[in-house]
Order: sequence, then structure tokens, then C-alpha cells
Amino acid sequence: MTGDRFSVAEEKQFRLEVRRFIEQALPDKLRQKVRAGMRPSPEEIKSWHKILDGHGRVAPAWPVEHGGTGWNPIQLHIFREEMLLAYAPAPLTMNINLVGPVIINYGSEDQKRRFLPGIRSLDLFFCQGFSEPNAGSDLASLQTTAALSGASYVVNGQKSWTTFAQHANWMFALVRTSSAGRKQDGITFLLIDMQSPGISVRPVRTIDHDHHVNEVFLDNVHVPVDNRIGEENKAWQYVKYLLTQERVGGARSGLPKARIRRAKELSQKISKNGLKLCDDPRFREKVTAIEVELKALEVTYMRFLGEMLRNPSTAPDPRSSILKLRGTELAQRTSELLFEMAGEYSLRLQDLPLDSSIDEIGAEDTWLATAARNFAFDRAQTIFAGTSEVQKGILAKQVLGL
Amino acid sequence: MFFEVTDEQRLIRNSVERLVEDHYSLQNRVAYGGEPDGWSRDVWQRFSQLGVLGLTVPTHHGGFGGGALDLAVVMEALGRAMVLEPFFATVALGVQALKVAGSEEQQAEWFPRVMAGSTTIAFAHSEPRIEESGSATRAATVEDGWRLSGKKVLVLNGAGADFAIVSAQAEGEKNRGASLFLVPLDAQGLSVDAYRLQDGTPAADIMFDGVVLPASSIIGRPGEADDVIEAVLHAGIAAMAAEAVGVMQQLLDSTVEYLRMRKQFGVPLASFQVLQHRCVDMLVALEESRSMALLAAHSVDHEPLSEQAKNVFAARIHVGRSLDFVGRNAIQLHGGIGMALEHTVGNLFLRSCVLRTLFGTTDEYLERLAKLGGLVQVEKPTNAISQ
Repeated sequence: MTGDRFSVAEEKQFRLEVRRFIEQALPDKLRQKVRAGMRPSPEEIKSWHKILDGHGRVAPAWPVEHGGTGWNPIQLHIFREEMLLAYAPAPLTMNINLVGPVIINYGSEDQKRRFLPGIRSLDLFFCQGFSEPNAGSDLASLQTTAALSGASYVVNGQKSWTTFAQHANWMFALVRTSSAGRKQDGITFLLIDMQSPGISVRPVRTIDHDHHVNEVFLDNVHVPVDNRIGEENKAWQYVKYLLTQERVGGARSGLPKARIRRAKELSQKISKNGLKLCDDPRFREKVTAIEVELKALEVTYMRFLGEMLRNPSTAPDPRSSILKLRGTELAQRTSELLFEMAGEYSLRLQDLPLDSSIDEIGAEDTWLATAARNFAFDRAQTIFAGTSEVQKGILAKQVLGL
Repeated sequence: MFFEVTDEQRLIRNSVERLVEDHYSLQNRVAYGGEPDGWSRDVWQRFSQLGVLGLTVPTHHGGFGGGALDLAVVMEALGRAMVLEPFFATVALGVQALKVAGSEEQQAEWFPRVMAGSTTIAFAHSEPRIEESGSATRAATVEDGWRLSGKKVLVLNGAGADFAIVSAQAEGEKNRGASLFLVPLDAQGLSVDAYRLQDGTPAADIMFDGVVLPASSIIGRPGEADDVIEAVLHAGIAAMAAEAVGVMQQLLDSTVEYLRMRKQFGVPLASFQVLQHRCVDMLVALEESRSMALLAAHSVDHEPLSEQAKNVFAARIHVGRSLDFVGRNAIQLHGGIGMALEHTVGNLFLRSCVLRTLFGTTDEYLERLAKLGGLVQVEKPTNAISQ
């Protein structure tokens, strides 16, 4: 394999290696859980992080000197996809895809030393303090303030939709350090110890009847200046870097593909009116149509990736919003497929958190208990990390010049 | 036109809307859901006082004597608030079954109690998945009655009801249809597994392990309940369609209000044409659903059973699709708030998921309507006009 060229044979070989690796590394109970549509508990995510980190594979896209694998983008894509297809939980995105890369790109050497190993191992469990009740799509209008006082910032405000704040021991947050000038020019990136006095966390239950997100209240929270990443008032650039990384970051094809495979497996066991679902032409056509859309997404990703590798430039391709747009729609389409297959048998609400032990919920039929809940939760796909409407706005403006 | 709301219906609607406005905020709903049966006995008494429990009970039993169109008015008002109390199970299904097939004695016994608010009913018809159980619920003939065995699932109000109307295959009636039985829920050999649906609706699985029933428990004649069940299901679908209209109306109203109020980038979200048009799309779905719900109710009231299915199924399909569209877009337009259970819109979305999936998915009804030949008849060629 040389540079950006990666032959079909090499790709096949790499896929096989990845599959073998996951097979021996992934604990079976965890695999069963994810396959059943449930979620890993914080303890399970932690132990999975340690397993992956032990093999140097928890942050494959990071620079090699910080624990990355040095793989080319196609290998990264294959690895991500194979993980999803094998029902391996993804490493914590807040750690690996968000705060880690910001520290790597904009942090001091000292900060990299202090934080990166814990971010990989999940000894440092991060939540994201970005959105606020009045700063959703318009993130730059955030109002949580940080006033410099000696060697600390004093932080006051409120963050919303903070995933796993109830489990996290750290938060990376955007705070306002200046109100002069443009709102984007007064934002700073801080790492906040969740044990700090003045932090309180309020659970927000979502429509899947589970507890992932929270509101976090910050009341005169002291944050050492040493925990500021990069320069004061410059964090909007870091956010833009993150958002574009996020858009370009993946094909998002692995999740829909894993669900389609699961749906087809299940269709061999479900009958309606004496006909196996896999023999029902309407079902087959429905699934095939989704598969075609998925292929279109995958190939589009490869094409954009190829162009990016041939013409590396500092400006990220705005067409990558297409990947977020279509990837999230396909994620929804496939959780909807499982919900349709389960029909009314998914309507019963099992009063158990989705990260419970799999023995508590049941075995093979667990997918019935999770289908409706995952369908409901997936509504967030087209809302969080930039709504579909925002993505279309970006495409209209930056691609079509409208 | 027959779709005009009558003065009487307007009065009923206003009184139910007032009751719901005074007693059914989201906070109220959460509190009622915490009660032992999963719904409020207090609210049920208020329904009784309003007279709506007797809405479809024949006048000679002291009821209002109304039909599906009258029921639709109430169902829509209840739908807006996502009412948990077993009005649908008791009135749209239970009373309907007794009205269609119950004996004078059965009606005289149970209608007054329902209207007084002292009795609620469950209609136990849905069976477990084929993969889970081998056979349908069956009733073996015994001396002076029957013995019931089997399992029913997704029984609305299955835990809170005083009795259930249960469909079963009567033994010895292999070539004949189903039978319907009146089964008290404290009967020996009967066990209830109570739960909620995704939207908080109280429901249950009911297991019948050799439940002995007296001869008088049969509703109508053994083996002849297929038409009754079909009539009840049609009425149920029409009622659910009306309830769905209420849900969608509330989803749309909530969305429009949110867009007006919510500002980002210095402007109200309502100023974005894309979002305005999305609301219009929701409006179109709602208005057409309203029409189809009325069509279904009208069919149930005025058409013979054999003619009802097409309109009822068509209504179910259109309303199901609309619920899907309006529900998902209401969440999308509310942004993150749509995901939180503490806000109304997410609960309305869950209700919409239940309403379009319970008793069959939209696809299943589409298949059934297609098998019936659809809605547009192929005309026989007329004879050529002779010269």
C-alpha cells in the first residue's frame, strides 16, 4: 500500500485482519447487547476502551505519536465499519473524536501529557458542554461566562443536552470570555473537573425512556487557567475544526449496514400470515431500496475522500454536509425498519435502562423490546451536531452560492 | 353535508375540551400515570358526570344514543391531551361489542354500570406472535359453560378493567368463527401481566389457564362472533383515527407556537420559509386525516359491515401515514426539546407511534385494502348504444 492507493486485494486483507482482531478482542456479552439494540453501560465502555487502548486501536485516527495507528482514510473507514458490523460499541465520541483532537491540535505539550492518555483509557470520561437552552443551532450565542480571577476562571451558566454528564468526571466546555465584538470572537475552550464545587447535574429523560442527556449548572465554578486549551477568545476556530472533522470524519454507513444485516437475519425467523418475512417480496423490495441508498452514500464518501486525498487543502469540502445529511437519514430509516418489523410487539415498554445487563431483559427477543425505543431516540440524529436544515443551509450557501 | 358538526356534538366537544383543559396538563398526565391502574379514577368520575360514558349507549338504556360520528368528536378532544383513562377500551370497544351482540340482560346489567363510572372494560383480542405461542385462545365446552385457555396481549386497560371481552375459538366449532366471552378479571385461573406502552398507555397480557365460565358469559352465539369482532374493530379504528386527528392538531399547534417563540441567529424560527412550508405540509396531512377520520366514522354509522372495510382501512392508512409525518416533523422542528419527555411534543410523538402501530401497521392495512380491490372500481363496459 502506497500513499493514497489501496488495492482491492489489500482492502480485503485488511478487512480480514480487522475482523479477526475484533473477534478475539470483543467480549461476547457486550456483542450480544449491542446486537440486541441495547447500549453498553459506562463500566462496559471503560473496559472496552482499555482493551482497545491496549492494542493501540482506541483512537486510530489520532497522530501516531499520540496513539493513532497511522492508517490511511480507507483503512480508518474499514475499521469503523467492521466495528459496527461486528456489534462492537464505538469508543466514546466525546473523548476520541471531540476533546482529544482539539487538545492534540491546539493544546500545549503539558496538556497533551496530562490528558491524552486518560482520554484514551477513559480514566478521564468527558462530557460535552456546548449547547445551552438559548444556544442550540446558534451555538455562538452561548452565554455561559468565564471571568478571569487570578489563576482561575470563574464559570457561571448552564449547559444542555450534555450526554453522560451523570457518568463523566470531566467536561470540555465552550465559555464566553468576552462580549466585545462578534459573538464568535469571545469564546474560550475550557476543561472542567466535574468534581469541582458549584457543578450540579439534572437528568433529562428522553423519549426512549432512558437517561443519556442532562442539564449541567455551573455556579461560580473555578477552573485553573492551565485547563484552557489554546488561546482565550479563539475557541470558535477550534469548534469549526471539530465540526468539519465531524462532517468529513466518517461515511456513517456502518450503522445502517449493521442494522440492515440484523433486519435480514431476523426476517428469516419472523412470519406473518404463514409467510416468512424474508420471502415476502414487499419486505425484500423495501430493504433493497434502502440498500441502494446506502451504497450511494458509501460511494459518495469514497469519492469525496479520494478527491480530498488528491487535492489536500486547508479548507474542508462543504459537500461533506451531504454525508451527515444522508447518513443520519439512513440511520433513521434503518431503525424505522426494525420498528416496522417488530410492529405492535415493540409497543410494550420494558421499564429497564437500555444499558442494563442483557440477562435482565431477555435473550433473542430483546430486539422487540428495543426497536421502538431506538426508533424514538434516532429522531435526534437529524437534530444534534447540526440539524438537517442547517446542513442544507450550508450546502445551499457554500456549494450552490444561493 | 354530513360532516357538519351538529350543535349537540359541539356542546359535547366543548364540555370535554373544558374538562381536559382544567384537568389534563402534561404534569397532570404524569401524576395520573403514577396511580395504581395507570389512570385516574377521579377523571373517570368526571367523564361519568359529563355523560360521555353513555355517549353510544342506546337511549332505552339511558344513554345518549350516539354513534361513531359523535364518538369521533370526543376522541379528538381526548387525543389532544393524550388521555390515559380507558375511554377507548370501555366505550369504543367494550360498549360497542355489547351494543352489537350483547343480550338485553347483558346490556341492562353493564350499560348502567359503565355510565355510572363504576365499571371499565377491556377488549382482549390480539394474540401473541406466532413464534411465541402455537395456537389461538380456545374455549372448551364443559358442563354449563366453557373453559378458557390461552393468552391475549396488548390488552388496553387489561389490568384496571372489571371485566374483559375475550375472543376465542370455541372447541367443536372448527369450521365456524370465533366466539366472544365476558370474563371477569378476578376469575380463577386468570393472571394479568400489567405494563405500559411506549406512550404510557396502561395495557396488559392476560393468561387464561383453564378459566371456567358460565354459559351466560357468551356474547351472542358461539362461533358467530367474526362479524361482531369486525364491527368492533372497524368502530375502534374509526375512533382511533379521530383520536389521531386530536394528536396531530396538538402537534401542529405546538410546533407553530414554538417556531413563533424560539429565536436563533436573532430571528424567530418562524421567519424561515422552509419551516413555514413544513408546517403547511403538516397542515395538509392533518386536514386530510380529519376528512378520512370522518369518512370512517360515517361508514361505521351508515354502511353495512361488508361495505365498511374499504373506507375504514383507507382511513387507517392515511391517518397512519399522517401520524408518522406530523410526528417526526414536530420533533424535528422543536429541535432538542422534542427529544425530552418533560415536554409535550415528545409524548405526542410516542402517542402517534402507538396509534399507527396498535392493531396492525400501516403496511398491513395497505395490503388488506389492496386485497379487497382498493377504492377505485373497474367499471364494467356499458352496452354500446344501439343506432
